[in-house]
Amino acid sequence: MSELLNELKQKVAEILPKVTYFIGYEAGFDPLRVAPVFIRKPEDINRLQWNRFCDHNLATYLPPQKRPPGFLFEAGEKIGVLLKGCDSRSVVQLLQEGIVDREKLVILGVPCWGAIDIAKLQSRIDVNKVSRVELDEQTIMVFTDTAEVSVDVSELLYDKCKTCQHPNTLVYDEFIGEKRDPPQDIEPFALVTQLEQMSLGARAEFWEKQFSRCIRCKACRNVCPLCYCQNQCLLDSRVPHWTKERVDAKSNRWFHLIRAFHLAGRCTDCGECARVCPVNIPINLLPMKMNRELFELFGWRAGTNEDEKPPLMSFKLEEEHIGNDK
Amino acid sequence: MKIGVFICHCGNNISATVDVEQVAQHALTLPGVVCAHTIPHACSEPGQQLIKKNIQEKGLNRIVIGACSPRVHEATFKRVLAQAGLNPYLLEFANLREQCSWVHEDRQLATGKAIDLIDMAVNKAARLEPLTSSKVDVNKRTLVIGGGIAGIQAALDIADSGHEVALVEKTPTIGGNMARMDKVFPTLDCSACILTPKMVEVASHPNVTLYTYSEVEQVSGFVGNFKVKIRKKARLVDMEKCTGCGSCTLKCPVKAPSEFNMGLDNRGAIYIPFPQAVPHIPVIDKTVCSYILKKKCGLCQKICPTGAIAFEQQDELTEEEFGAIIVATGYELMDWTVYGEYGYGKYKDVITSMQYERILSSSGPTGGHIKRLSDGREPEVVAIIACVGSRDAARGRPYCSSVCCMYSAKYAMLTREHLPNAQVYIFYMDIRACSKMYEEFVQRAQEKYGANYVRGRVSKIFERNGRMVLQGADTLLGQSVELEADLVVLAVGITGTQSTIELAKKLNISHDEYGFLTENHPKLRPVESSTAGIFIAGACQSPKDIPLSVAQASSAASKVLGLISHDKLETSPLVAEVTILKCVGCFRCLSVCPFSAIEEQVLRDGTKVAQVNPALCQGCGLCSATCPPAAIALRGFTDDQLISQMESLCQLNPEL
Repeated sequence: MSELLNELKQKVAEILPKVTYFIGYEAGFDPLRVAPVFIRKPEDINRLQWNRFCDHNLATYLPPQKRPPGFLFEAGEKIGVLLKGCDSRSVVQLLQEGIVDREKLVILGVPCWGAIDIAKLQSRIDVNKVSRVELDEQTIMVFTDTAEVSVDVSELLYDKCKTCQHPNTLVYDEFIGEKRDPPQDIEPFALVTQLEQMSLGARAEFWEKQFSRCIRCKACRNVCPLCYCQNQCLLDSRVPHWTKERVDAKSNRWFHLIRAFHLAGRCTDCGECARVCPVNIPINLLPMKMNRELFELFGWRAGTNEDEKPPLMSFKLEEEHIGNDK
Repeated sequence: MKIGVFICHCGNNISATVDVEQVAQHALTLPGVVCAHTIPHACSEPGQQLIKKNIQEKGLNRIVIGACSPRVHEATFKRVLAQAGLNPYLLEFANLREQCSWVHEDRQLATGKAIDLIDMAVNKAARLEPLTSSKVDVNKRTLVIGGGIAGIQAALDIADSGHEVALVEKTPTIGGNMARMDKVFPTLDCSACILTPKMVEVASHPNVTLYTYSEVEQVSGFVGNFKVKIRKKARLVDMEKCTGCGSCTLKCPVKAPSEFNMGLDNRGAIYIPFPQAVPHIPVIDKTVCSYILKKKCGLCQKICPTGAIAFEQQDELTEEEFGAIIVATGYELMDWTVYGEYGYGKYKDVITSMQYERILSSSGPTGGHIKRLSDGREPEVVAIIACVGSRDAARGRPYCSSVCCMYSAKYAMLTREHLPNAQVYIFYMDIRACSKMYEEFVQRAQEKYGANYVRGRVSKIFERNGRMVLQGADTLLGQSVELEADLVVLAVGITGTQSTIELAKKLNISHDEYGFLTENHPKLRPVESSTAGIFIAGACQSPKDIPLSVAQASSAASKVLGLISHDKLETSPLVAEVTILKCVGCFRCLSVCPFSAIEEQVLRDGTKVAQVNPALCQGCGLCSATCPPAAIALRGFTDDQLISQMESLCQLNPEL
């Protein structure tokens, strides 16, 4: 890891003169956390981190519509960004949608072994009191002032990492480290399949329960790299009034279902919506379900091939996979 | 808001199943409704008067009509609104007939549903806004695609009325399939004798521009303003210099099967398809010419007295503008080789109907003598098998080709005229002869010409001692039959063509699975395509004989003349509209629009937003459904209006 970090810093030093800023990760408020960082000056390069806690999808900062004031740049300038395999799928989708301009990006690719879901550590140790962490390829040792625990990293991976088929960045200008072989025999929609084994009634009850917990903070929408409508978002619209402001299971259900439909065939399974959910709703499963439908109907997986045209963004008189039962 | 509700009995079409009085009573309880009436026939003169009177006396400003399908009478009631001084788009139509009374039996439930439908309509009506059309110029030129009899007729009708026409034909000559035919039913006049004068007339008409050996490459635009790219394929012969002397065609050493003679004989690599071809100018087949393939030969170039051979010629693309388009691309024979049991290809003496036309024709490969292709002998027994590829659902051809019964009778007559001693057998399923003089024609074939009609299908054909043996059933006698014949003619069915399907895609008009173009309404709009300003004529719409093709061509021409008689056209106001403030510039609308009606617009601050060209927009609503922030609304069907309908429906079912 540390070799990779050194290589990263070296590359960023090379890239930095060409870009307005470079987006990467830095150490967070405790040893378990990292935070996104915008490097503008060479002296800040040392703040960069690269480890198994780097879970944020930095592609979120790329759509011009989503960039905060002060992070816009003039024509001709570029942004550098560090992207994991899953995050690069978001960029591919954004490229296909014409939202980001490839010319304006300098992408640093990196191999990824999966990120650690801190929530999965919670049952073993109080993750809010961690004072020190030791990490190697297989195991993680976490210390608080009073306790310590050693866990196999593979037990702590995000669910999305377990079904990941893209351990290497898909589009990049520079790649650091060695590329990993993509894992075989992965069922990318396993989580949806699992959920669908529940009876219809049980599933309805499951979601009704989840929706009743939602506080409509809209963090899922705000973190999503593909939800870039910002102030114009349909879910904030008064005319027409698609969703009520009221926060209850019924109104929340509309909110999430409309969002899932808007992400159909666009969601790149980065799982950020579920990660940022303050009440831990596995909300990524709804767009994932839409993705599976699109996969079965069009053989389409969002953000995996830059040259393809998203099926719901094109008009064809006849579709290869639809209406050919004759 | 003053909403008037009018519920139509439609005779008893609606009132037999729906309690219209109860629906009207309910409507009166809805917010904004100031009057509710039932009318025996809302579309009748008294019905229209009642609506007008109420609008004027009660100052109604939104009208809800519960009646038939809006496809039937929406236009009628829009006119009523306009006559009463209201904007016609302040009308909301609830379909209480096709979508309610006709499909339900239980009076109570149907009345409940009618009440729901009126509820929804009233709620939407309250959100309707007045809409106005804009006007676009109409280009007076017409494009006719396909130079067969239908295309020629349509082009002549329009040209004769003083308007310019471009006639595009993909093969080197106009004339189409009719030029191949010998004599035509029911009068048995010579096909060429009645067709060639029209070919000459259209070619020399001052208002007609003829593009032979040309294809439509790309079509954009909309009714009144089509832009069409036409590819003029390289003939490799300079049409200006060529005198049509034909010396080149005589000397060409290459042999290739003649398309015009249905492969019965050969033509050269440079050839004139048939003697009366228009234009009478040869064309070089680039796929077989030795000079093109191997840079050897060039004999035609040496022999041409005017130096017209131009091997270096390239395809030319021209772009022209038209106000209307007529598609008359015709038909071809279905792939009869799927009938392996009839031995086509295996036996030389099993031929298709179109080949028999060429054999009968005096300009054909046998000079008009009926001969067997195998040994040149005159046949003593000729068998004709009808419905090969027609009315055969098992082979994917469930429809009737409509001409085979008639030309089979014609073959019986012509065969007997050529060979008075020959016997003719026709295997048929039913005889369909239902046009003027058709039944008499078939009777004549049977009575005067002694054609033997055998009702039943042939199951197998095989060879025995140089003759063709047909095994089948005579369903009238209820027994199997076996017939020895010398020549077998398959009356092959008609199909739409692959090239028509490709053209339909370029034109954005619909077609069926057999390649026939779909008319806008089978009864009331038979020559209009699904796209405004594009009309269809002849056998590209469905199997047709010559009289019907000509009639339809003239009908399409009259529709075109009706269109181009206007200097300006009103566009429908029911088009998409972008709210610039909401647009995030993702342009998903642009990529899904089937009509290329969406453009990029750059605002003063440099942001890019979508913009709709209302003249191109057909109001399909794809953009509106695709737009994530709902920045595009379809006028007359805005989200707000549709949600209001949904809300009135869902109030009845609080679970939704």
